[in-house]
Amino acid sequence: MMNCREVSRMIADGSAEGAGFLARMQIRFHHLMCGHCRSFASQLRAVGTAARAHMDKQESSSTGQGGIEDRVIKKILEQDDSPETTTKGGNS
Amino acid sequence: MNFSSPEFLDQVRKKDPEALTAIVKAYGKQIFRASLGAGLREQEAEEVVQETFTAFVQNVSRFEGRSHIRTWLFGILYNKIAESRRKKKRDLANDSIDDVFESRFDMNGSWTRPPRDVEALFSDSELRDQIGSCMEGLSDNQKNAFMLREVEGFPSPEVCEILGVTATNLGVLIYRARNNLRECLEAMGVGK
Repeated sequence: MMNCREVSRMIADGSAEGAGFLARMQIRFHHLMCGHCRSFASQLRAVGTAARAHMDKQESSSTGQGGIEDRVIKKILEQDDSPETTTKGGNS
Repeated sequence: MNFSSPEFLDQVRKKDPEALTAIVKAYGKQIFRASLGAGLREQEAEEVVQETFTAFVQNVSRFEGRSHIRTWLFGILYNKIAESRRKKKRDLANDSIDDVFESRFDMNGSWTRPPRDVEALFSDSELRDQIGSCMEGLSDNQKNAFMLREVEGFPSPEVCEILGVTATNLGVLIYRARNNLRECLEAMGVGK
């Protein structure tokens, strides 16, 4: 039987999502019995929702965002054709 | 439009306006938003978006199609963000959230200081505004992981590839980010 610390840790680090059937059932059962752990999970959901809302607001209120795509394209087109750089990119 | 097709990539290399417009329109906003989420100021974020697409065009012939074009673009983005931070010599110290989390449980792993209901403490708009200042307190790695996984909803394997971390490391980053944010919100609600 998992305790509150173990259940909360698995919820917070995301490992509960990929956990096996038995572990997911244990977590679900624990949540049925434990209001504190339900509050913890609820807090995390609220954090995610608030963060997404915050980023939506920041993006839409950003004065620099209007036309940013056009400015990016214009600058690339204005740049001279230079030899390819060795800029480290992501995994290709 | 297939962004990974050799024809499209060749058009990008030749700076074909139509191809550039397509790729920038497809990912420009998302990359700008991720830059803001990483803690850059608006002007810095726009500069990093510009540098990301410029590097993408300059290095497009190196793209081998082994990963999604979005993954490659975001890989460039986070390298640019890291460069930007190194330039500014910003380095946020680690936090002690692990100890804070542990202190809330007794020897048996039961809550000694149960979580508070933050949704009852704040309205939706208050929560949205408070979380912004809480996010500023996250370390760079926590912020990047949280933004990609929680805000943008990227799958964990893609986040690992973009940030160059293992699945275990990503779990630790997400765990610390979420706990820091909820502790921060709880602290803001003290006295409410």
